[in-house]
Amino acid sequence: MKKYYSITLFVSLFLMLLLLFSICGCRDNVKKIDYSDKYVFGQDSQENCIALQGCAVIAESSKSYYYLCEDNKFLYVVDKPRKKCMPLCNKTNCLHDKEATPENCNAFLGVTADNIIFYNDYLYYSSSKEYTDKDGVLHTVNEINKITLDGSSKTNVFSTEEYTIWSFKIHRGFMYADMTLISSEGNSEGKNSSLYKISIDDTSKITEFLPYKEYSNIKGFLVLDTRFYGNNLILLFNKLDKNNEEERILVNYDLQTDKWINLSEKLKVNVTSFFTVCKDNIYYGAKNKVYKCDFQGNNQRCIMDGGDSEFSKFKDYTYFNPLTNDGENVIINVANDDGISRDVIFYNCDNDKTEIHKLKGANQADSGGDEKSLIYKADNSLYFYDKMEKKTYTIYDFES
Amino acid sequence: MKLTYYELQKVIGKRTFLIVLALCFVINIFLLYYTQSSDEENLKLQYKDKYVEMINKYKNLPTDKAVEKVKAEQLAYDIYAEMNSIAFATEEEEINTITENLQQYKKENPKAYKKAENIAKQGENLWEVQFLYDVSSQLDYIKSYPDFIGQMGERADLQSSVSVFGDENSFSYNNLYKTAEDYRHLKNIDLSIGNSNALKATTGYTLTDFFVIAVVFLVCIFLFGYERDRGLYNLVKSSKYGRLRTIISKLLVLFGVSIAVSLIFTLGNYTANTLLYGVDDLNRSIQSVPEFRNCPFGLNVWQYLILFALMKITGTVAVASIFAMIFTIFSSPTLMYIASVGVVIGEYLLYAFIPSASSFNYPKYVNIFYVLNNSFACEYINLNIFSKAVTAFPLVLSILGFVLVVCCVISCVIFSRKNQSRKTSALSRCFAKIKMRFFRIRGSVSVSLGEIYKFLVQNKMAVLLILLVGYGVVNSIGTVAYSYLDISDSDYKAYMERLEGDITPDKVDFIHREEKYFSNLENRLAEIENDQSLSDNAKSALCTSINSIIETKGTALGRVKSQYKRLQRLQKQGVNSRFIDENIYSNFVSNSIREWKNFSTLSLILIIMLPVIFTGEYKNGMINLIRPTKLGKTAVFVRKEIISLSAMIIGFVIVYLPYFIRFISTYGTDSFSTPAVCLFEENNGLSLSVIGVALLVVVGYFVLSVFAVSLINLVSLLLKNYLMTMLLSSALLLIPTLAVLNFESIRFGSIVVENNMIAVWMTIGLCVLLSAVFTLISHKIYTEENSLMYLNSHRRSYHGHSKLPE
Repeated sequence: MKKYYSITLFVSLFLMLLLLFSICGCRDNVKKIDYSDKYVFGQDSQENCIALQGCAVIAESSKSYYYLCEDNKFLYVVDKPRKKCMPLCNKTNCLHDKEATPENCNAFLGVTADNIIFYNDYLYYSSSKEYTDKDGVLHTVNEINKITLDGSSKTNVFSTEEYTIWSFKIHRGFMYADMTLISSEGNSEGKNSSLYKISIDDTSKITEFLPYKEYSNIKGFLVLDTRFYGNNLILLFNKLDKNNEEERILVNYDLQTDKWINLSEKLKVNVTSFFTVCKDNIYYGAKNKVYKCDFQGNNQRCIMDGGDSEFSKFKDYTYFNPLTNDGENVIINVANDDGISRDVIFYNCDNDKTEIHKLKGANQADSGGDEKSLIYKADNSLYFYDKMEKKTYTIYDFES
Repeated sequence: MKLTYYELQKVIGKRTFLIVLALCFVINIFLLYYTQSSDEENLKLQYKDKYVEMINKYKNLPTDKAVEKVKAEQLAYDIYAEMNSIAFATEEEEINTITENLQQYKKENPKAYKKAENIAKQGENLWEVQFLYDVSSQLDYIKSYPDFIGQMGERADLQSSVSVFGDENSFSYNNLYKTAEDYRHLKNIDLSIGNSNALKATTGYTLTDFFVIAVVFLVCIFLFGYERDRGLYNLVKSSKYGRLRTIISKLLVLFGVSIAVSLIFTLGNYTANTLLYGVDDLNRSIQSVPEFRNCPFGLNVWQYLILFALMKITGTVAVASIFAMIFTIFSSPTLMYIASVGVVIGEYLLYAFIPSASSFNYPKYVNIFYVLNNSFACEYINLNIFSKAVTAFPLVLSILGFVLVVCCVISCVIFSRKNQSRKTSALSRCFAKIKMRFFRIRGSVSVSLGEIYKFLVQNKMAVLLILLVGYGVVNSIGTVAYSYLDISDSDYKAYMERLEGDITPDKVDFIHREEKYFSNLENRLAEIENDQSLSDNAKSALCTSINSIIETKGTALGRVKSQYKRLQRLQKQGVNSRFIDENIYSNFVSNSIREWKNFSTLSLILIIMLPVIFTGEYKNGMINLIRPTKLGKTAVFVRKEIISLSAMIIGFVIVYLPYFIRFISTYGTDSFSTPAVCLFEENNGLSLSVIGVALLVVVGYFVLSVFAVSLINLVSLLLKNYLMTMLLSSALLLIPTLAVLNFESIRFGSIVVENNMIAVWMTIGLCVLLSAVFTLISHKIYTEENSLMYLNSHRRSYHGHSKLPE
């Protein structure tokens, strides 16, 4: 009896040692969520990095940007102070995006990878994979995975065969995913999607948060964009009447109180552009003017008039689009029916001043970055724009 | 030493062992040859002499000169391709450009141009194009290697300058510099091109491991199972060196034989591949081969092959030690088999399915299959141990060594202390009580009932059958999933739900209406583009909506329309064509994964169930009692065969029927009568309906199962041992099934669907013939082998003597 006890004890100790090895590489910082009505870095959706309609190829941590190249599906890290860019792979014996077979490179996220999001010191991305079930039927499993900031470790967070994941954001403990229920897609006209809410801690609970499929341009209604800020979810609807006259409607949904406010009912002007949210205000355009209001639709003010002399450079341009921001400045893109200006306007939310910046190679600024810099891809290169120096650096050449 | 010698004799003295070893070796080489030669595009196999000639032509030249020469040769083919492209040019400008280019080539590269003209006259040698590309790739790689190695330190510095890798206490930082340091000694190695096909084929072929594991299992049976089954352990253990020395001798023999077997198979594979692909210069650095770029060892090719063989041996010895431990712990043959197979399968699944970047990737690397795989020696991996970068190679070897020692110690302790005779488990005792109460035989019974009793009650196969029936019932519940791979699949499914069945005027009208709808959408798109009153954003939003419909539903309608056109063509050919959901029914009539999975599952069931029928009586000597009885021979044999076939039929129904039940409950039977040709692009003349094809495939596998039964019964009678029969049957049925899993053409479904009826009937005929032959041989062995012959062969194989005891 004693002998078997010794053997059992020995085997148990060995297994515990093995388990200890397995957790030694893991760390998971679980931070308490701050529900204040302001932007909180690390737990709120990084709307300054996410482009229109949830297109997320850039994410930022405190020291770095992360860029997911849609052409080759490699994840790149950009060191902010040093303005250096490289694939997110910690192997010296790897040629990363120059490898003939990139599957062994940590920076390669897979051919179906999409949407890079920073949340709580991890990066999240969506992808899909195939598997064959017991009947030989091929299935696609759509996933959201998380990776460590050095790219060395990946874990699956959410898997589904029922839904196609188009895009997602993570805000204060929940994933908000634009998904379509695959089996019902065939009975709809076009994309049959909804915004679903999934708890990060328990991904088995999926709630249909906003049925996008109820709104489509065929029916005359469309959700153009959504942005999170503090406890607010701001949505921009596009409504077409019988004569195809369009009307844009700004709506605020309070995540805490579950209340909807039609901001457009209170606005003095018709919104004609996209919008952004910065420093507790919503910024939107009406033709060649940019306005701001608070989350209740009050305190409306014109912050920029394209007809003013200081914007004489843009006299041939009609549309002033506050597409994004960097937490300090609202970044306004300027365009007309023929094209987009390479100059962008930075409006400082604190001192009410505007500055014109030129982004080399870029058509427009899709994401705002932080107050000191932003990154963007143009002409097969990745650029780093230093806002202080007003200088653009080419930090990575994808073609080479 | 004598003890070790006698233990060795127990293995190599057995004719069965040598036959099984030879059989596994031959099958392994055959499968190796088949996998290499089945690729029709494997020109390196067909033109191996030309390849070796080309390699030798450039091998001894300086790299730069070789590159120049190869590029000049390739230029001739580029010019030839340009000449060919004129035939496909439609515009005058294009033709003029090509002509100008050709004139320029002629002027600047007259030699290459002349060669291109010769190629045009004589025809292109595909092999030369491919081989030139291969040599060029090798040369480019050799040119880039010094930079790859030389700049590792710089790359480490560059990468660590970024903050995410810059923390000196992090695994990433340590990994960067450790990697650079570990490759430092490879800075100035010489590389050269060569014919590395044999090396790559040998190191990439993994099926051999399963054969080696099977042989190791057989050795364990001879060393551990044989004496236990015959109750000889009590005799062995009471002898002078009966315990610890005996088990040590057994382990030494086990490891020795495992090493020898592993070496034989590895050498055999390399020799076979060398014969197939030609010889290589074994003295060049292993890093000369691009696939081995990351090998951190400064070895030549021949040294690497030795390392590779050593790793195979290490993995094999580790498996042997685990098997030895299982054999000493468990006394039931079934549990031994299940535990051993479970360990092998479990290790394989952990290795294959855990991603390398997973935070819990230790089971992937601390794994026997990782050691057995070539990547263990040729890839460089550091594991994260408390944020330190620890090279996987020595760590995994250490852990494996530790496991080996632990398993040996446990085997020794249990063998020495535990009573190794077969004990009756609690379940068996309970079962015996039930048996005594409800199934007691009173007086004499018929042979049939007696055999049924032996199979179901005495050998407890009733329990297995009840479990199988339960499995079958559970498997029958549920649905067959629909495959949504393309974004248009759900729209296609919606269309098919509307259209499936006979082609009616209503359905044709529906298709035309849908066509009109999409045509209107296209017009609407054009209108939107030209509408000046809409802003760019409005246009973009509208167009996005419409395009999303065209890309999904439009694509689905396109598929429906091509199907309709195809069905119309078939109707003209006299086929009663109907609409049918291709996604569902293509899978229904034929699916490689399902077919082989079902057959493997059924084979496994038969391997566990059937050996008891014939081997039971040999084990306890009852065969000698049965033979002299009135119905002792043929009558008993026939009844045993009937029981085998009945068990097979039950197993077959349990494995194959649930899918049909689930399919019918999900999709119904409406499309069963649809001609199967409606599913295919071309009419290949197949006259069967969908259900006809599915049933013919099932019949094919039924006949194959009958063949499997006859094979297992024959093996039972040849080996007369339950565990050995299970092992050999696994090697003959399961491993080849695994090997052909990826070959589409080697399955019934494929040949039926291709309407290759000659192949179908030939296969069925061959199976029936072989089944008949095996059954006749089995009958001969069972009825004509007398007790004396059996006793002699039994005693000879155990003691090595040919004389009868006095």
